[in-house]
Amino acid sequence: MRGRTRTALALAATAMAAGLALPATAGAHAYLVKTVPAASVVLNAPPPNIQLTYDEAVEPRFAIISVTDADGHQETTGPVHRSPADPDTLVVPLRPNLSEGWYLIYWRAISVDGHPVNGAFTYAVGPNPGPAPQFQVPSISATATTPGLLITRWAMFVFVMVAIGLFVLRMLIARSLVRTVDGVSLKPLTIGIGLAAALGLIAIPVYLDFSTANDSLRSVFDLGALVPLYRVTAFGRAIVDLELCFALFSLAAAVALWLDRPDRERRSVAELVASVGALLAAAAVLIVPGAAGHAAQTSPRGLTLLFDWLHLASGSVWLGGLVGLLVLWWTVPFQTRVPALSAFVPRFSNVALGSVVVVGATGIGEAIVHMPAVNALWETGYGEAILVKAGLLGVAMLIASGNLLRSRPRLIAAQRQPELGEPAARLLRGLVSGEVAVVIAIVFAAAVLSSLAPPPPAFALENSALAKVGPGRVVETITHAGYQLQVLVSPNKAAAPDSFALRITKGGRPVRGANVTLLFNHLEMQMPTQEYQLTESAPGVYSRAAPALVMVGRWGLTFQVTPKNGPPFTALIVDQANG
Amino acid sequence: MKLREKEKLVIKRTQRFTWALAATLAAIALLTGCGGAGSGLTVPTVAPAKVYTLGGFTPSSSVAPGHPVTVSFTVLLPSGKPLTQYKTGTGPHTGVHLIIVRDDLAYIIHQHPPVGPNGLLRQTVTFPAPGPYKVLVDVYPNIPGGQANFQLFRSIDVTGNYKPQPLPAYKANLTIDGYHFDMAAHSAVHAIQAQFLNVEVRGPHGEKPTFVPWFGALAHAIFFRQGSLDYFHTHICAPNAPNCGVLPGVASSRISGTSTEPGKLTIGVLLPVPGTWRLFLQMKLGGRIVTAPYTLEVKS
Repeated sequence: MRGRTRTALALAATAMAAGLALPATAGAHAYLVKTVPAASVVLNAPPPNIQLTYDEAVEPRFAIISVTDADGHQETTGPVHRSPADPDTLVVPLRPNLSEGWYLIYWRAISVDGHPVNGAFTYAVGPNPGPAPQFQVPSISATATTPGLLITRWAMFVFVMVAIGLFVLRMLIARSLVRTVDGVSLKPLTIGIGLAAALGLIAIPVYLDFSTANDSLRSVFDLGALVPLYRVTAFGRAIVDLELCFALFSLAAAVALWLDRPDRERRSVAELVASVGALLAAAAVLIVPGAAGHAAQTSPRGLTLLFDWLHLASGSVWLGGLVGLLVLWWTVPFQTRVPALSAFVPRFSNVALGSVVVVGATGIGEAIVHMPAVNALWETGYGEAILVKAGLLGVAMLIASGNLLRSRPRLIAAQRQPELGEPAARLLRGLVSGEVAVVIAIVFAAAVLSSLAPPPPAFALENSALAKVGPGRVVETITHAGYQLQVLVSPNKAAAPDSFALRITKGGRPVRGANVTLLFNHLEMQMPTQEYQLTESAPGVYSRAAPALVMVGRWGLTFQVTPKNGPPFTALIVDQANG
Repeated sequence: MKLREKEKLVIKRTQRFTWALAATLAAIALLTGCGGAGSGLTVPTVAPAKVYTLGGFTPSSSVAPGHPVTVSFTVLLPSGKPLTQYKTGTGPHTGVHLIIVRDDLAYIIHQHPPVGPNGLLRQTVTFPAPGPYKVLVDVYPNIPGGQANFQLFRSIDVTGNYKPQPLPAYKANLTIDGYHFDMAAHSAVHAIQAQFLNVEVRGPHGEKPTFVPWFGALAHAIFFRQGSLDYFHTHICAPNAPNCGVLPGVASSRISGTSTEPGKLTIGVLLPVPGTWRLFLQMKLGGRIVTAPYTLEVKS
């Protein structure tokens, strides 16, 4: 009867773990596709509301739409809500009968993937609004990398990885020690798993709370307002899934540990089922960060998800194993320490070596997939975080090689020469402690890395630019394809209507009647390309005013020119736009 | 035996730690969970924008009617510096147009002050009668990449007993300074719908005058809306310059009128909002500027 109950419990846990193994995945950064009123437009009558349409259903409860006149007076009369006609559209009501003049719309929204995005544009109520003022665009937190968020994210990763890694160590590597070395107890490892799991179960909701607080610009202690928002974004739901999967892992792991009799070589069926359930739940836990993050948005998706999962899984085995090794070192009685380590270290070091190789290989694989160009490694924050992480991994491998080349052979030799044992064990402790510290630092670098947006494919454009210009007003002359091209951008400010012009001359004469299109690509964030047709406003001068530089950063401006007589050509310049 | 005790100690400590953690979390939840009210997000504070202004505007107080008054000012950029670069040339969209109307639209003054040192603009004006006047400064700056045209406004109060005059109803035939103006019958004018109005002009002896260019156009059609004093203007262009009034990026200039033969004007009308509008049709006849005012009812 009791055996049956155990088996049923374990089976249920396995089934639930399998059901949760594939959480919902997320889309890319939210991008503003349409506004009513249009940017920079002069209306003849005041609009009743402002409508912003995104390429995904952003959450109104996390969105801000500020509408102010030139004096900075707020003109909205109610909270942002979703348009009943279109789920991708946010609406904010305005004070009726706004007076003539220019208005600044500043918006901030949270992408489905959890990243804040923001922008600004202006419109005017006419017929005579006067000249467009220079608005001061406010800046509020538009980052997922605040210290509080990073630390909670890091703590979440460390506890979850240690718990899973310790469980794998306890069930698959350390179990036989009880039988092979007298006086060794695995209870400290079990307590360690329990402790890490408990802290992980706390750290996940704390991170979710910090993340939701950051997105909704509230205090992390404002739980009454934050809890209803936890499951609002796909990102929040993924973290809730993570908590559920991890709780399931903890449950199944507890059942497996409770059923396990390490003094017997054979495991019971119930224990096997519970262990498999726990491992499946752990596998599900480790797929969530990738599915909720950038891995799920980068093509080829299956490959990046697999890389991400393997990376996390092998990292967990490595980190948990090292922590377990230290736990054993400290808890095994002095007289059994050397024999226990002599038996355990050779087994573990093989697993650790394999894990490190997988961590490194999948890390390189992910870096290759995410990096559009080699120079993105040192020119973007994402690339720099990869370099730091890789450097730390190198340090950890250096320390590990010390163990592999010194501690391990000496501990093996200690079976014949006991006097070697104690110094080798001390060396091992020192090196493993250092390695654990470095691996925890690597996890922190990973927390930073996964909080940053990877550079977009447009980054590679930078390497073929004819000129790099900005910030500030641009007057740049370049010679290209036999033409003199003068690029004018004014005032070259982000989130404001800018005017763009290209003066084309050949042999000092204006080139008239050409067809000129201007393409905009943000080099640091993934956004759809914007395309504008320029009109000839003076002989050989093709211009257009557009609020195209929707964000601060480097933009690729591609002029596609088809002269009336002559082959078409393109000219790319990279423009830095500041706020 | 020793080992067992050590284990028990560890377990005991773990239990204590867990309880303490649970108690702390419960306390935090109790302290904060009840206080939160789920309203919308607080919008950020936005600092006032930097704007274009009229600097050093005179007269700074009310003036007397019938006496010459110097109206002077500089157009100040958002940076606070005076605007000194204006579009130049013979076209209608150059320099500064100073248009002053009394609030009841009974009078109009249209001048073109020259640009002085440091962007100073000065114009001597004589206000014909008491009342509140709206001063419209129509600016055509030469700022690369900047706005091609914008208007700034001020008011001047002229002392005396102001008796606002109701706008006369639409009348097709007008006689101004000896010239006869006759607007042809037309369908109703609607807001945001382009329409052309034909006006025939005859001299004092019935002759058809030949229109001469004045500020880049054969005639200027200046519109003001009753009450709100919204402003709009179009140009009547010579056949050899059909788009004399069109300015890239300026919505109000999208329509132009034409004059293909002496004595005949075709006026382009595209008014932004419905209401009663006063059209001041201005042209140079016999060396003088003649203004023919029409009242237009613009339907929605």
